[in-house]
Amino acid sequence: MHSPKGPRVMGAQQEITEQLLALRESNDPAAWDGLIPVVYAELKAIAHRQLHRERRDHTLSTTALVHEAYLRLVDQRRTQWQDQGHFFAIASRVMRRILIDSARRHRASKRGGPDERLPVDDAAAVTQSGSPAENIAAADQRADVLVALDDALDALAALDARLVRVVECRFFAGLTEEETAAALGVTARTVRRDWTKAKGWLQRALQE
Amino acid sequence: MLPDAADRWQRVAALIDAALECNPTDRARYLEQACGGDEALRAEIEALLAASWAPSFLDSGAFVFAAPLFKAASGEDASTFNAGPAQPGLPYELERKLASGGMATIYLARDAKHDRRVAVKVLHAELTATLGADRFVQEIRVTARLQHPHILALLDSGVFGPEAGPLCGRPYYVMPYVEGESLRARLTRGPVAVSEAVRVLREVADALDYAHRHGVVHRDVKPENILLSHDHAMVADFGIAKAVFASRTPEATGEATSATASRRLTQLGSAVGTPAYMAPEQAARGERLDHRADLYAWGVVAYELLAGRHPFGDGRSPDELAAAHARETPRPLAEVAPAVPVALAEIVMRCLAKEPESRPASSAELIAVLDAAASGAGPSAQRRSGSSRRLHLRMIAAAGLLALLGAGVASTYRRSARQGAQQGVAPVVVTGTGDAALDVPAVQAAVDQGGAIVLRGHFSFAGTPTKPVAPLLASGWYPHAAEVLVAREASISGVRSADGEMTTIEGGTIPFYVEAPGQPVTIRGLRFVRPIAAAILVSAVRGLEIASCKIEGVVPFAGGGEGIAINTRGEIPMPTNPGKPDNISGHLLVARNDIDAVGGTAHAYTMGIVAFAAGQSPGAEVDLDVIGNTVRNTTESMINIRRVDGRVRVLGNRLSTSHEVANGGGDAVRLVNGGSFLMANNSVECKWPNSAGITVFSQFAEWPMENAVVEDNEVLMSPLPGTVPGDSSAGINVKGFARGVVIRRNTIRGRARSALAMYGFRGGLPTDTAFIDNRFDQFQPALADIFVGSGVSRKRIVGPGSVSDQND
Repeated sequence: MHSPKGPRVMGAQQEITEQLLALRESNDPAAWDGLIPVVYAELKAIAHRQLHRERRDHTLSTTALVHEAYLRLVDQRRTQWQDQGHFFAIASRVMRRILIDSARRHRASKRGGPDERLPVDDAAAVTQSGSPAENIAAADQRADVLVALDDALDALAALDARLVRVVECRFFAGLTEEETAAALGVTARTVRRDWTKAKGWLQRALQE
Repeated sequence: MLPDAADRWQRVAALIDAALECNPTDRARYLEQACGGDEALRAEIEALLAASWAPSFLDSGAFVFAAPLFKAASGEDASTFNAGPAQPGLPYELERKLASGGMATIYLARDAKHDRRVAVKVLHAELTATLGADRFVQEIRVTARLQHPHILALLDSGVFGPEAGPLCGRPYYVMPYVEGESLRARLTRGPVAVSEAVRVLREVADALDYAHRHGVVHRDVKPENILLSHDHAMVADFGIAKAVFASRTPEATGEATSATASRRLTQLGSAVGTPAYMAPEQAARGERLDHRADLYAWGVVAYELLAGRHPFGDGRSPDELAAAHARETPRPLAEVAPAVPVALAEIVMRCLAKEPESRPASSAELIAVLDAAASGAGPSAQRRSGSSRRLHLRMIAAAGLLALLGAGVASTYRRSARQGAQQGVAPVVVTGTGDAALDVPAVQAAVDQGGAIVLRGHFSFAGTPTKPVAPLLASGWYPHAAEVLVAREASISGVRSADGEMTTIEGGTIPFYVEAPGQPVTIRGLRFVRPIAAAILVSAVRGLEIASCKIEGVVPFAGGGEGIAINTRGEIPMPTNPGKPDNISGHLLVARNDIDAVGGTAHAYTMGIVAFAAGQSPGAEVDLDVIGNTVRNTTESMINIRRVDGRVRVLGNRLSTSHEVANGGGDAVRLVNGGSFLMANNSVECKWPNSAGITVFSQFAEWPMENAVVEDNEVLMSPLPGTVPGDSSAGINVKGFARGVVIRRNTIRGRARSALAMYGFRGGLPTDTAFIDNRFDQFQPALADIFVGSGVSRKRIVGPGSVSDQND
């Protein structure tokens, strides 16, 4: 969907800020879709930079990624508190797409048949900074887990869409309970309960 | 069907929400009532709750979890974020040209995938024209298997694809980038001392010996291919000449044998061997070469190094040199260089024999002579002929024993370790053979001399242990005998081979037993594979460092096994039987070890790091630092410290138990019976349902725990889903005779009866315990975040968390 104000040339920050302000006025969730491509590109660029930094000082953090994106992409002088929630809501969905796209691409790039699926716990136990061979093995396993998670989330959405949004905020964007509550417009207590249910449901779905 | 599923989920979700609002102790009862006899429903809800509390990758951030995807991708294409298929053309960024030789151009390059600098050698285009590039790459693979400290490893090889532009179709190979200079550069700087020459020649001979035993002939040994880095010689380009030779195209081969081939022959000749160092048979026949061609080239290098000039003089053309190798006899080295030990001069001349049969049979013979030269043994001893001498030399070579590298021909062999360290005397080097009958005596002999000992290669210690273990220990948990006894000051270190492999000690019943009263001992950089009872057991020492060792599996002996043990009692010390703590004093450092204690069971435990009964006599307290270690897969405590008098710091360790637990439930970390403890910045994962992640306690009024501080640790309690936390289950507990223990700023996650607990134990009640600012954000207590047992008084609790206090 195009910006309601028509096409124009502007920086990503201005465009995203404008859209957030428009979103606050209209409160139309469909307006989010217009933001997704530009947030996608910018988050990817920030993730790329974080990965390069991480080689030096080991500061990889999902939470920091989304917060950095907010600081860079949204003009703080023009926004109110609820705009941050809106931004995080979009960013969490975009993070899911970015990471799942990468996982699917990674799998597609592997030659031969489908890899043997590893239990989730094993994949999670693989070290992140091992030898190159370990990194590649870890990458294969994590791609599998992420793709399985994406499929499970689609199935969960049919039962309870809000749980999926909570997973996007808590896992994919690394938001706290309070930030998630603000992004989704529910209480922190609800987030905590939803997160418990979602984790339990997903763990079981992934083990099957 | 689908609406049904959604309906049922709504019901399940509502019940879970309600159950989560219940007091945890009432939850089961609530669900039983709420499900109204629908057992399937109740089972589903309980399974979901259990699954939600199990540790999961969902607890980490997705970006961190997915990072390996991008790391794996970034090697192929560091400039984009997308994980795409590999681009085989340009895996290395060529930074600048380092040198250009007869065969290849060497570039300094960055290996983006592994984030390291490498040297990429790209074969010359004109050479490529005469080669089958794929054949070259295939041939070179043989040499990729060579792994030796004095062989520059082959990391990778390939043929550039179209992405590489002008380099397309050119074969390349990749080696570690070594800072230093070539032996050629060293020679042009000026004369080389005999002692230095002996060391370099020894290392080159060692490399040749290893390669020859693996069936690889270098074919191009020369000063340009010997790199000196930090007083360490590395032989480069192993097997490259063979690969070039073997992958010549038919046209090139035909041309080389035709009458008009002299120009091409020279070109190829410089590739498959260098005329100045080429054995007569190599210049004449080419293909049918064996390792003795390398011995000839080594002889030429040795002559040049020791005499300061080439055996056939400098300034000759390649053809003249080839003719000289075939016909001329060089002046005896002993005449040109009188300072060289006679035996060494003799063997260099034997290497220069025209007929391969007249040369030494193998590099092992060179090594034996060089070792004798290095240790200053008299020349006459080396001249004795006959079978006894040959056997003797073979034994030395087999055990690789006692190469005193760099000590100089005139230096004496015996010296104290401290003098050795102060004067920079090089260590005794022992090379493993993989035969316990040779390895254990060889290491014992070196250790008996004391001082600095370097072990390298692969050792087997799987022999019958013969060194007696102190009776007090042997009457407890340990066997009666160990493999190697360290009884005096010694620093034993492993080295990594060029490809990063650690010195390995395979098997053995207590491979190293340290009983060195009043003496300092260091053991560093060794990899132990499945030692029995313990990898290292220390019963007497003054000053100890055990660092950077790797232990892969521990085999329990009579019910238990430990990675690293410092123990003067042999079992749990008691006031009535305190062991011999005075035997251990000084600074004890156990750092950066990586212990995988896999091998334990419920009936035969494994522990990680144990320190029992040390440093109790006045004035002989110890400083024990347990820092930066990794311990995993134990079935009993990962760190167990009891009755260590002095200052104990347990910092920055990463610990994770096995799922299986011995003795009906140990504790993941135990700090027991006194000592001044600081435990901070550790991560502890305890997978046992009836255990503490960290326990601070004393069961003896005589030995109270006082003022221990446990802070900034992360404790994850992760019993298997469905298991019920037992009464002893807690993230951190303080119990028994304890005073003034401070548990501060720790994070407890996962699932246990409580996150923190203080309670009476064996007649003792903890007093003045402080729980301050600990966090329980992702913790599911069966009882409450904090449990205070009955009778406990004078406590201080600050910060968040629900409290169950039996005294309220």
